[in-house]
Amino acid sequence: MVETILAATDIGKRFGGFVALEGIDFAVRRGERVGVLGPNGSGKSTLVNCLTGVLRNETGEIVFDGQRIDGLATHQRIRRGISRTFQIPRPFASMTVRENVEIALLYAGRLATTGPGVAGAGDAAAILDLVGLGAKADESSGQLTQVDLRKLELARAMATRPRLLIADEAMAGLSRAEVDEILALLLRLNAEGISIVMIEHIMYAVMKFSQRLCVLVAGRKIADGDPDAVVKDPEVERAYLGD
Amino acid sequence: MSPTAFLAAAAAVAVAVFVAATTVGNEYVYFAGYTVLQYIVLATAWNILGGYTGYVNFGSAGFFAIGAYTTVVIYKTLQLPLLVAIPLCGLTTAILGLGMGYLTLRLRGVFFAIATLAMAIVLHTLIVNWPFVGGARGVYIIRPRDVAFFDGYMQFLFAVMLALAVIAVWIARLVERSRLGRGLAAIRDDELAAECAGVPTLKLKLISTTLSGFLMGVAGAPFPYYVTYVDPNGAFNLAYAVNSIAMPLIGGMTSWAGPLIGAILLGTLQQVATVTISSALSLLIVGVLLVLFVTLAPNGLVGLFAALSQRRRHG
Repeated sequence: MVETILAATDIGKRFGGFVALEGIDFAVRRGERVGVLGPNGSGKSTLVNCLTGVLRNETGEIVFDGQRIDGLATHQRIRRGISRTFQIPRPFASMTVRENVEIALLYAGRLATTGPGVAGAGDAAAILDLVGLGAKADESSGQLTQVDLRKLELARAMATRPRLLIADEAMAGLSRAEVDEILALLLRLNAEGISIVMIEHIMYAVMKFSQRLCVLVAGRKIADGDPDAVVKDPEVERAYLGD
Repeated sequence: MSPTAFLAAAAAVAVAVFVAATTVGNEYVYFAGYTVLQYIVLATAWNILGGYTGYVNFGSAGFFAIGAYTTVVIYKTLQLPLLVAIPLCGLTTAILGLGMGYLTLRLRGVFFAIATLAMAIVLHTLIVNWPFVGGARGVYIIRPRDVAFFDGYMQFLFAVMLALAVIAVWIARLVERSRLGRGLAAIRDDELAAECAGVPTLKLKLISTTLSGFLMGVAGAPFPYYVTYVDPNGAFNLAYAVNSIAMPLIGGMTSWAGPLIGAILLGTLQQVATVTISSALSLLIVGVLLVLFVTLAPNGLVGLFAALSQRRRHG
């Protein structure tokens, strides 16, 4: 059994002349909760996109569960057990909440072998109950509130049966009570053995959640370690508060 | 209803339509009916890519014409009977669809639509400059004098198109309710989110362009025997591109019933207008209806009915 579930080394990505990521080493241990912090434009979402194959990293390599995955298409990485949510929720708006989850179950939830049209209805219901959307299963996903959309993002990610979940600002714009709700949900998922990377601006949530904290600034990783130590790091303070 | 039961029911409807047509006892019924049926196949084919997958194809006329011209080539070389030629025509345009998919599916939205339009123009130019199939002058096709079991060749063509329409609608319904169809719907709603839900989007889009291309070629295959004189302007007619978009749009794009209803309604209306008023007016009708539906009922008739019945249910 490999202790490290994800190991990305020397990840680099440019957009034209703009260096979005440079020399990023990023690893996640099995069952770990990692927070990623960084100002806007620091490369957090680009990192998520490189890890999940939405963008291709130009340098470096990504190893997931002992195997190289850079070069694989996104859906192949998802099927291997990496899942993600989107910063701005992207529901399948013409479908109900349940159908949204069923897509992921059908294509990545290892239910694919059960034949056409046979989505595990029980599985979808269980996942929706887990995130607290059970009562809204038959509602149109386009009509959901912000917090419910975030929950749907998580439900769909869970339906792919991930071993590593990357939550890209799953709480942005939510109220304190709603943040607590999502936070409790993520902790529950982690308790089930899923490693979680949480990309977040909300300091309170990051500090409460993370066992380890990484800080990105201008495409570079400037700190990585114990959250309490990292936030006291003078370089991190400078990046956030200025000189 | 299971796919087999649906096929049986559709076949029964087709037989009923055929019997009804024979009782009229006028060749013109077959002639007009053929056009409507051809549009059912074409609109259904377009909808697999346009409605289910969300990629608007403006090049339907290109696929239709290549289907027709494949028949011309077969007629001039192997001289195979029409029923054998049809699947070969479908195969040709399926490959064309696959190629188009590979080349253009990285384009999204309006750029994909423009690329398909450009492809149709390129194909048009190729055919115009290919003397073997008649070039710009066109080519004559001589129908076989007799055909077994049928009362004249036009009746035979009508029956063939009726069967093709049944098959096309059956395939569309099968796709719609399958794992494939749900994946296509996910792509239509949000391609990136679909990929992140594990949907192999490129593969599914290629299946969609291939299948759509296949059915469009099939729709065009009997065309040379129907008109007996094929020229590029006839085969690549704008009406095919416009109608194959307008019919699903007016009927509704998310279900198999949409293009079927749209094709029957609009196809019939155009036939009536052509006979009673003028053939130029029939395209005008399409344009006006298109504008009305896009503004007033963007989900087509199927969507309109669904919304009305929902409103009634909720009081």
